[in-house]
Amino acid sequence: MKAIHRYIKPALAGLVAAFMFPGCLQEIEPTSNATQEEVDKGDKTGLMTAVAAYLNTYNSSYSYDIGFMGFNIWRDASTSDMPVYSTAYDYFTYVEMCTYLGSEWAMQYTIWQRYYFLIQKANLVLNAIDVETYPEDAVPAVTALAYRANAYMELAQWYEYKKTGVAAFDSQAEADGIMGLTVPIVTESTTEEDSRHNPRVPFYTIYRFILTDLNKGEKYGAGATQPDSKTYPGIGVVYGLQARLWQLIGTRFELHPEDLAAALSHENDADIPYDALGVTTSRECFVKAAEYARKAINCGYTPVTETQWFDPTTGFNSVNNSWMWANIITTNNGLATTLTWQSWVSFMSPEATYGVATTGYGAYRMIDARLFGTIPDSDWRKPTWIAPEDASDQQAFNSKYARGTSLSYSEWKDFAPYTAFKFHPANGDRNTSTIGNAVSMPLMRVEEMYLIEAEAVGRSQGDAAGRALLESFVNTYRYTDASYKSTGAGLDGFIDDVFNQKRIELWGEGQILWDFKRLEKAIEKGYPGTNHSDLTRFNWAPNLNAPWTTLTIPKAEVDFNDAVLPNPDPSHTGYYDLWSE
Amino acid sequence: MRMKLLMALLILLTANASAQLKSVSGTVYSAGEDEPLIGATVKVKGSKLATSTDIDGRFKLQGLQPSDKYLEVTYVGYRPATVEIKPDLKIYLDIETEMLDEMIVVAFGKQKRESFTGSASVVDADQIARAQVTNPIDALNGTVTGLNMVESNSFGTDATITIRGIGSLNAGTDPLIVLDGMPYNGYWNDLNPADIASMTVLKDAASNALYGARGANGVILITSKSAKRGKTSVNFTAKWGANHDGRIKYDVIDNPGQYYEAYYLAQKNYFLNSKKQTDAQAHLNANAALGMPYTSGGLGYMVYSVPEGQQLIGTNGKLNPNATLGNRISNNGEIYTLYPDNWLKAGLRDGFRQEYNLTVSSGSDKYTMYGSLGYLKDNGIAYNNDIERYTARLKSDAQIYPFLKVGGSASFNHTTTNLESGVFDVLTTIAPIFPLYIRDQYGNIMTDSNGKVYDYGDGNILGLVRAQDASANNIQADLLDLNRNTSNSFNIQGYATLDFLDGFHFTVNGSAYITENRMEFGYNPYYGFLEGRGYVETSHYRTHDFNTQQLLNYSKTFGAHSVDALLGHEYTMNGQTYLFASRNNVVLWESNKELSGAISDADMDGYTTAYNVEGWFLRAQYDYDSKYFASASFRRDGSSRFHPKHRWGNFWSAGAAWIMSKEEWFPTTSFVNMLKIKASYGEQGNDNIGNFLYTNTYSISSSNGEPAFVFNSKGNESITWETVGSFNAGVEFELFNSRLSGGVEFYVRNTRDMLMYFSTPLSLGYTGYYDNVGDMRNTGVEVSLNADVVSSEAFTWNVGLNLSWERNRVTYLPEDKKIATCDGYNGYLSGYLFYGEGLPVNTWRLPKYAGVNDEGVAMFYKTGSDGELTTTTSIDGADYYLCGSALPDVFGGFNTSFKIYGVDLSAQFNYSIGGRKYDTVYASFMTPPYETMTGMPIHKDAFNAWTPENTSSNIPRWQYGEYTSTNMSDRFLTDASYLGLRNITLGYTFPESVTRRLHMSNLRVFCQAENIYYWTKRKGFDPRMGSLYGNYNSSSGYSFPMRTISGGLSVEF
Repeated sequence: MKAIHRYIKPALAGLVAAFMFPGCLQEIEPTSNATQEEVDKGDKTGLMTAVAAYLNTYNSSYSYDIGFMGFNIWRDASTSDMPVYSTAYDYFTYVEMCTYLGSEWAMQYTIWQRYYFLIQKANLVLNAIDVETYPEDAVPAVTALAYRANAYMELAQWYEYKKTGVAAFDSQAEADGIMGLTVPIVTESTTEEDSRHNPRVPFYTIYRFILTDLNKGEKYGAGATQPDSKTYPGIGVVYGLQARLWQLIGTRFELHPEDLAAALSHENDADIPYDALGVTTSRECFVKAAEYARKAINCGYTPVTETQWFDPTTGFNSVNNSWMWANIITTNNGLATTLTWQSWVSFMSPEATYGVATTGYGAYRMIDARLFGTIPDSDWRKPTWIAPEDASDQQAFNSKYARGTSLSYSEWKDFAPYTAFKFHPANGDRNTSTIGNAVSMPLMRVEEMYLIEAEAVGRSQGDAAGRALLESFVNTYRYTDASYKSTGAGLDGFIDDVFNQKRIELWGEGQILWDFKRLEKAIEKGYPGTNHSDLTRFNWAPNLNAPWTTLTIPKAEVDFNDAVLPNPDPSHTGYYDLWSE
Repeated sequence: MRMKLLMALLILLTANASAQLKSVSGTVYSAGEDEPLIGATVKVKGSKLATSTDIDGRFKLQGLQPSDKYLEVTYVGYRPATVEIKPDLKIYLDIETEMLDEMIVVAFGKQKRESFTGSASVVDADQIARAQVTNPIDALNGTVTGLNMVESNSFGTDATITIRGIGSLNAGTDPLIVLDGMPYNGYWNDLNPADIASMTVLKDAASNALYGARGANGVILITSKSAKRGKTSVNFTAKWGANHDGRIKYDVIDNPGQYYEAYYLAQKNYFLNSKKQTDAQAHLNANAALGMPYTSGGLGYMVYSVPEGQQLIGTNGKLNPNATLGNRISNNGEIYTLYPDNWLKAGLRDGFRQEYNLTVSSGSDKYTMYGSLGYLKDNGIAYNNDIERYTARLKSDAQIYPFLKVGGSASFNHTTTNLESGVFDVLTTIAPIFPLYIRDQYGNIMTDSNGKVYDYGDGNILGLVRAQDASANNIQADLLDLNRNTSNSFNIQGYATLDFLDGFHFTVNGSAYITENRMEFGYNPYYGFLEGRGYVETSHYRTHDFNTQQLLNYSKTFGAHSVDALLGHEYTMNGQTYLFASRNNVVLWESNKELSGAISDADMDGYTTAYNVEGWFLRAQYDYDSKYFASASFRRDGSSRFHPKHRWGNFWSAGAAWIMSKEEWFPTTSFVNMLKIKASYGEQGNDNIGNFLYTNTYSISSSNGEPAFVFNSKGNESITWETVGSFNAGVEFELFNSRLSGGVEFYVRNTRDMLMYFSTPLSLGYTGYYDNVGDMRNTGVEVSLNADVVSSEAFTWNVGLNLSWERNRVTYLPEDKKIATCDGYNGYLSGYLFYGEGLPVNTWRLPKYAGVNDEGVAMFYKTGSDGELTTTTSIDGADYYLCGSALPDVFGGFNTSFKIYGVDLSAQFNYSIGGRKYDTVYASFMTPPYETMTGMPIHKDAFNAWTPENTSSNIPRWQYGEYTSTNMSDRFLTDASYLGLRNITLGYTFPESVTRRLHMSNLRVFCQAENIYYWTKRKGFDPRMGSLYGNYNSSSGYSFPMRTISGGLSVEF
């Protein structure tokens, strides 16, 4: 018993100590992510850079998903300009074959989600800064506003249902009351409750919303320094976006005066808290478009030179002086480190051995045969694509094509006519995906500004004035012998000439779909001598929008936002057919 | 005279020997076994004089007083004995079997079963041994009421368990596992079933409220084996067996000729109906389509040759009798033969399984030691899909002083798992026409340096491209690729218990559990997409769990009153670290699959995360005359998963029980031997969600070299504990001389403030966040019965049955979360599931299949604006309806065992009734080929589809391109009821006369069959695949069920 007593005191002391334990519970900070608290402590640059970084967010489960650059391919693939040689390893067949385009398919979810998540990144910046009080916030402000304006401009063009000529679709759209509606607007002040009842706004509302952002961007950007990296837009990009916007609005009002009337009748609506358009005619829009395009050009950009264009190491994968705005994939982004064949380079450059645009997999891209037929030899851009008469020809390879590719003749000879060699792996690295996939891609080039200016001047001052600008641009920068003449008849013919130059100049850059839609151009993939795969030969008449060029709003939006009305499923089955000879 | 006197004294002394002995000695034996008991306490009655027996069971007590007449002998597990003091005693103690059975492992201790007011089920070592399982927890399947389990078919994944219904929407529903008193966070496969003495499943709040934080979904207490005092034994068990694909097969077309017929039929209908061609045109075009590339709607491969000018399929839709299997084609100047192969057969095997366990257990009065070594190698049923495991365990206790006991255990485990599983995907992707191998012009399989040459369907050798798995060959990938997890786990537990004052015990527990996993993953550089390059990645994942408890216990009996009180503190920290790197361009694949063996850097990542929880608790138990019992508990817990402002939660319970049969008025002659009624209520918490959900998180990215904080997930500062309030009431009984025993329990579990992932519109910039939303109720009745039908010396027959009936309803959703309406219910939706008040959780929300129209096209219901039900052939135009849920109504198991003259035979079944699961696999087999999606296996039901001649069929016409007929709808919701014959064991225990001659104490031989058969609504449909309460029986990524038949022997010395 004594033994026990000896231990009682220390035991009791230990006991008391055990229960007096100060709370052991520890605060834990994640190391895989940063918390809101950590971000709040840091400077706002991290939120600004996030907007640009988000462009390269992808989901490795979906072969087509390489971030926003994949949407560029989706857009070009929905026009007639970028056929694929073989669809076996082509991950964009949905829009080419017009199948599985309904709202339940993953791609529709992906596109919608990415745009709105990008917008949220911009909204976070706008919430965190106060540029009126702190002028140093101008750079993040311009970045956020420009990215957001561009996102809404693309959303508006891609989701607004326009007449297709397919009775079932058009009557459904009429019945649902979605004509003229674009997308819901979410800003830095939208609450969760708002977002659950957030309707698709009419076109004039979204144009004014975009205009408001760009006007602010112009105001803040005027005095701000241009960031070093072209992934952050400066004032030049804001001008460029103004030019695109006014050209879009002007063309719409010109083709559809009833839309101008509608816009004017709502110009003073109290419930539209955005800047007024301030125009009463389409011509005024084109004046603004031309003015802004010129302002952008005057920011010091110069068109790509022939040497830059054909450089197999840096051609269309590195920033140069013609690029106004760029998407940059760095070597530590998953698109380079993790994904191999799921990448821009894999899909677009026939040179990457780790890609699918090789002769082995056959998913390489070509230019439309008829479009190629419009390019004369004096246009130095022509050997970007293999001329049919030059295919497999060693002499032609040596004299015309070798400078524009790192392929040897024996590798090159198996590619079909019209194959494009516009895009190259980063550093020309054909074998190491982690290096080759880290490319930069243009989001806006100054050449587009020249072409906007030409069209806008032509539309506002008469086609002769426009032709002069167009011919000057093409002859100065693109033809070897200054032989280019804009010969299209009348204003329409002139506009076709501009459009044609745009199709050649911006081939593969994801921009030309907007012009097809804006100008309501025919899409023709089936014709005698076509180089489009047989299951992709869908044709569409002019003055309409082809159904597959409008996206459907995913279920995950419709389910949770009760004010959103969906678009019809534009898949072809049962509604329209392939062209056949 | 002196001599006389001395003699007289001696006689006197002898006559009064019993009263006058100064010392006594003797030996204590275990009755029946004649084995000496080491460490038995021998005490002089009414005196403080006491000693314990030595290693030979002997004792000696000196200094006896004349008044000392009796000795009291006690030994744990034996009935105490009182014997008269005599010289050289031989004392036999009876084993107290009843008492051992009546103890039950409960939260933070053991308790007499009769005083237990809660609800618990116990599974003992025998039951574990009967199930041929890799981890002990799988042995609970079908044996415990209220516990529903879907075992994993994969070595790399644990089973899914819910106890008493699905308790939460988005927070975890896994029960807490407690190993020897300490929360166990490790891999289940790290536990060797041979080391487990018993498992107790605590189901109601009164039982597990003391686990407050994590007890809401039930608690599984696992007790590992310990040595018995005074007994040494060595046991060796060996099992050898073979695994076989245990899948019941769907009626899939497995004959290439029939497959072409089915494909032809789909194409012909397409040309007839969609292209409006004549029968003759459609016949020609359908035949032509068969061999076309898949991009043009064909199969790409033609494995039959037909005489020039003839068609493969005749106008009767049947294979041309002149067609012969094997077709010669030429590509790049070479001639090859196309011949179909059975891919599944090539990729599956009958794997060998072997398991050895050696245990040694020994104990003296002060020390006990249990040690075990185990080895398991199970080759599964697919190549490079196997497990090899070494386990070692040591457990020891020491009574240092009469008032201080210390002990602990240490275990080590080394497991290598290979997880290649490509072959399982082949089931739904490869039609029976595709060659697995490349054959030369003579039909011989060609070879290269890796053996047979496989067809990758990428056009490279044959010039033909498969629509499915092009550039891949899953069968060869299983052979060549790498997917391995090598893990080491260490577990150390220790405790010290101090007894002081009268009835006080103070215990300190501590445990550390560390796992190290090295995961290696790689693609070979020889074939497929990565030909010429290859890929390797290595990742390391470490978990570090630390747990400590301080428990102060007081127990005391005052006459008929017994009280027991517990005051405790517990702290748990779970930490994880992760490191990952990958490289491309592997140089020496065969011999070097490490990062150093590859030359191009790819990706890398690393981070740590942790979770910790702390609690203080109190428990009081009271027992009057072993008739009336009451218990109450309180616990306060804080969790790092919540914001500091919302971190702490209070949980409590109260319970009572009454053993009615002990009352004097209870008719003793009745057939009722024992009757106990009990009731309890308690509230517990659930924080089983991810870490850091209370704050927004941003991924740390790079934007052209600049740091970027990219918004990643939306946090919600106000999230806090989900609370489950459980009421339990039950009856336990023993009838007919205890030949029939069992219990009936009724429970209601109300989950409040459910942690739920709440979706937002995508346009808001994120998909949703966690919130405490809504209430849910689970109601259930559980019945368990055990009958000793025949119980004689030579023959016993035992039957057991358990049944759990469950009903789940969402009882409340706040108005602002009711954002959708379906069939008159307002609620919330997620994918194809709907959550509404009054509905079971995970209720299906799907288009309803309305059969076929007069052209055989699939129709779906829609409701017009006037409320009238109409049909549409467009799935997009279909309305969504509520279509029931996957939750079963009743589930459970039954078992029976016979014993006759040393031969024992037992069988166990489990079953589930009710619920509807989506038969994804059948839906895939019933999807007609469509653009770019050809060459997938087809179910024989395609031939039963609607035709103008077969208009009574409910299956839509079998037509190329009409894939929307198999879009998600209730057409493929299938009754998920099943009956499974889980195992049969046949054994023979040699009689003692034999074993004694062999110097053994026990020898048993046995054979076992596991996962023998199952019966379901549709042949092939296995509702047990996928997740438990999950709604799909997905095939991809899952392994097939495995049937294992093995034999073995167990020897004990």
